[in-house]
Amino acid sequence: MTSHPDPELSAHEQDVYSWQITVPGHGDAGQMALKGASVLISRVGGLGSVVALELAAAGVGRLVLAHGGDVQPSDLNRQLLMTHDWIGKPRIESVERRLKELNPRLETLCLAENVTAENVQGLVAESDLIVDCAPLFEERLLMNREAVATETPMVEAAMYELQAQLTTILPGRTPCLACITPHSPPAWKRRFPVFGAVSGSVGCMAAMEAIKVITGNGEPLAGKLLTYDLRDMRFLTIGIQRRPDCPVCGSAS
Amino acid sequence: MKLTLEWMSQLRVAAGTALQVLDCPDGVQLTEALEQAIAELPDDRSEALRPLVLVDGRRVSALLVALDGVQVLTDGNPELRPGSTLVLSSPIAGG
Repeated sequence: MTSHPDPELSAHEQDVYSWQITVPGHGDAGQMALKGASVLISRVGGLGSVVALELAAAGVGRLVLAHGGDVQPSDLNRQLLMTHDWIGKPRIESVERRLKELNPRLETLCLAENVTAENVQGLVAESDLIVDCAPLFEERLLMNREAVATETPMVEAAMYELQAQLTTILPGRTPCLACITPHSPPAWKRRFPVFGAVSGSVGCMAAMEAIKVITGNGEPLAGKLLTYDLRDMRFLTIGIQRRPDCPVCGSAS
Repeated sequence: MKLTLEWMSQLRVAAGTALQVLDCPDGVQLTEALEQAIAELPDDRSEALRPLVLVDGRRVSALLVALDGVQVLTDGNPELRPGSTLVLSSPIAGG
């Protein structure tokens, strides 16, 4: 999984990443894998902001970022890459600016649009791995379909109120999103209650899943769905199954 | 026999509780147990929860159901064992 042209680590990068290069099983090889990786994050809101921050901080070489619209006051409880002074201006500009402040070596490919049927193929083609942070199931299912078609791993992160869910889809090996949610659920509403600390918690874990898949160090949530409720700190891991009739990854697809 | 249900996401809000303990007849099947659980809630909770879980007596296809830690696919209606735990969640997303 390397798409970056120069995965060698400079002396400066050795210094910046010295705290994590010493993590058992990571080392220079893991760090070079991160530098060589290109990760699609869509959208870059409450969840995606934290994923992008953590991956930029960890030294992922390239982020492909898709998020439409302008910064709204109601973004600021959780979308940590948006700033008050950028209200009314494009979200994606705020995202790129903040990420480059953290990691000026980061290469970005930014699109001021959300995922659509028209752009999903091009976005996934630029990426070794997807982190799905979108609020609408139409977008999530589009990315899932493209992930399965191109055998691109996809980390699935979601949240609601004080709860969150996380799984990692490895096409051909694990269930896909459509095995869990085969179609856009009519009861889901675009706006829902949530704290930024909830999106922050699952965003960090989604970033760690991405790092584990890219570096091969650790065991991702493959075929397992982590679900937790921060109201009472209940954490559960559920074994998920492929649907034989899944329209995306099943035998009928 | 006793069963435990854990409601998550929108279901928890609609049910007004995270946990529900059921006393069911032996050999009860999953869908019957869900019918019983919904019926035992106060009327307003039952009314809010039912369309998220059951439509025309069948489980909503987007519902995530886990029996003792393993997902039950939509067309499955297994017989439940004493002491089983069901976890139910409606789909959630990012934002």
